[in-house]
Amino acid sequence: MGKYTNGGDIVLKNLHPYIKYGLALTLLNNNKSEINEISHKMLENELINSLNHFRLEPINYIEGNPTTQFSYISYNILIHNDKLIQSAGLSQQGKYLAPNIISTDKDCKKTFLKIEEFINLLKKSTNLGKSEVINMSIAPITSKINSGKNSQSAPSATLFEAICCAITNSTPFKPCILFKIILNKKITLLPTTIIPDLPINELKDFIELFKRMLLSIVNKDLLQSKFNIEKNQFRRPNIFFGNFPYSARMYSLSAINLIASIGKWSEVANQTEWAIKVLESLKKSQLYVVNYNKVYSVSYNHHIIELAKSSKLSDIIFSMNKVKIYSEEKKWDSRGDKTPNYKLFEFYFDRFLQLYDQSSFKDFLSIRSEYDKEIKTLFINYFKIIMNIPIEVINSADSLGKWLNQIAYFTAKNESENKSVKDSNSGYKTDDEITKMKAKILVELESSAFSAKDASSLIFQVITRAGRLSGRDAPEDSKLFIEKTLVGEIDLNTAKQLIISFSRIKSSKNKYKNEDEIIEFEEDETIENLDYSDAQE
Amino acid sequence: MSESVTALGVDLDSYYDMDIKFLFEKPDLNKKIILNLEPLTAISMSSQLPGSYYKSETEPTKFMLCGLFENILDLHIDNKLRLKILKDLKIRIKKDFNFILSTPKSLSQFLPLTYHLFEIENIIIPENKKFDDLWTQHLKGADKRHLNGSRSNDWDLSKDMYKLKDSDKDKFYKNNEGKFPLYYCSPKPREFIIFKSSLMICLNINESIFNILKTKLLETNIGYLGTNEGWVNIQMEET
Repeated sequence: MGKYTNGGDIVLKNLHPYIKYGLALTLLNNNKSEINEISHKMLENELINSLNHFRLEPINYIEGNPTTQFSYISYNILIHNDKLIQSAGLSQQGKYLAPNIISTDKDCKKTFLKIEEFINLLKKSTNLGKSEVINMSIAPITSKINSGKNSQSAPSATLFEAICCAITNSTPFKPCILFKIILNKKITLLPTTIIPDLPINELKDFIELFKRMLLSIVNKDLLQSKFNIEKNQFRRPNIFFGNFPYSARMYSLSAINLIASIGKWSEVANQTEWAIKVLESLKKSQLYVVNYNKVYSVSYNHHIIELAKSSKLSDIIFSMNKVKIYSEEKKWDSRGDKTPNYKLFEFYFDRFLQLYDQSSFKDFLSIRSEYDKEIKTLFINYFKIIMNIPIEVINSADSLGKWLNQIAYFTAKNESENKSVKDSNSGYKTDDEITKMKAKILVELESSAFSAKDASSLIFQVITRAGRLSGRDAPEDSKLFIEKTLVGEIDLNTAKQLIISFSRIKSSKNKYKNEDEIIEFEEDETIENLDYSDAQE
Repeated sequence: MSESVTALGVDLDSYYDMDIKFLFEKPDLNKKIILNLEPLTAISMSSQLPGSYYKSETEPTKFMLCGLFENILDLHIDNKLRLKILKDLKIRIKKDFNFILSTPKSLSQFLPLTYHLFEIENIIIPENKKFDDLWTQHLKGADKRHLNGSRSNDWDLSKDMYKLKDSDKDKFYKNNEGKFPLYYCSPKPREFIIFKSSLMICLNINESIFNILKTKLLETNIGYLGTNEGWVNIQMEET
């Protein structure tokens, strides 16, 4: 071990996760357990495998058949064709930079050349303990710094560590997803990876599981996309929306999505024990989300990871993708980016899953919308575990919430029917109108709950209002909740949150578009001329 | 302090006599102690792959403990002098005790002087929680980045600065370099750790450095771990 590090005191367990991942992958692929057993050839094979997964190209595209299959351009072809590594207009031809290369369209050539340089060094059996510069092309987690000198330079480490970084940075066997962010007022597409910080043996387990997920049958259409016939353009294959199965295609939630998909996949593939072991190890670890522009770490609350052990969490995240926010008419703006409120909503939701406490839940509820019924599991879990409310009371509150939601729906339906008779318009707008009307009524009920100053006014304001709207009584099941609130056993704010959160859950089946939205990434040629000097500082 | 020493051309030997005699003693690690570090704030101990994101280690490295000790011992010495001292140290220890000293350099180019005087046996890490926060990185640039990142500049530049075009910034900075601060600031995400209780570190340490540290700690027991904001309360116990 000593010969691989120049610091002298870096021990295996303290290795940076970006170095450790490459090391663990090499150990796993060669079935080795000791770092000393790693040979030059093994590292070389990993790097060559990475370059074999550098760029994608469409194959067997037949005019008229919308489904396009993609495949990787092999390393041998890339060596002899410089233009395929990086040149303008490649993405228009469907030759996309693979999402596992954590670089940009503009800088991917540097990554390619650096890895090639390492391959040549390994062929010459260079001493792995020699000092080597680590720059952004192999580890976006670094950048140039002064470190006591007059001019800025990239930090250094040993060649071995640099090669491990390069493996992590380019291997296809890691979770990756394409982020779409606005940088300098332009849409930028950034391949992004999610690296867990685990002890080396647990990391090996994680990678092994992930490899199985990646290659499993549920993930078979990863390299397919539908050809855009109107624009006569290729669409990016599914791998760009997350190379793991059951990706919800929300990049802001990609880390929790990955955790959820492990649970969901394990249930489908019948690998529960293995997955539970991996999920258990993720409870204590940070996940590092790394791309060329930004690096951040997340760690999710252990109760949430507990939920991921079944397919429940995956369903919750999928249902979050369908949420419609009342105050926002559109989900996507003209640039193809999510509108601010949707971004905020996802941010709050992500933070709620990370912190899983009262204040983050309050923030989450602050954006008004309706949720699918899958989220009920999360709410019940939260109120039961974090707020310590007995399950009977939660169920009782749930039935009250359900009743409120139903009232809102039926009132909205009645009103819009009356209206459509008056207007004698064609019926196609009715669904939309009902949704709007329902939202209005729900907001009204919520406001009356929010404004309540004590328990009795909370219960009676809401129930009286709802009763007047519908002419019906509150359900029998809600009695327990009402009693407990009036007696004061439930805190007023918690009671408000119970009513509000459960009344937002749709009682009927989702009537809106259920199929996956096809998110299109706009191919913008200007991306390749972007200035990253700010990002590199 | 270090600058004045080198600038005045003070004889190294006289400097040694004042402060750092203990470095030249026989590097026997004959004392076993428990170092108790009680974090008074969120700690960030970054040692590898610095730059865009500073990931914190969960436990301090030996270099960090060297930094902690050298701060307490007032060894605020610049790299040039450190190199000289280490060179001398190597020769003298070889001559006096027939002992070959290794003088490693940390990845952040820190040359510790006390590296050979103790050894970490075991570290007990308490329950902790990690989070990201912004941290100000100080950098020195030679182009408009320095201009954009500087928090302040000479007042008489103001009349030209407000109408400055982006393309002219490079040239403007070069012409007025002296009127900007030496470093500009670049906020960077950095990982911090909150420890629920103290870190316990078992050390084998040289007796003389231990005694000096002990007397110094009577005056003030606050040190810096990881960064200059990582305040810790220090306690040392013999076992």
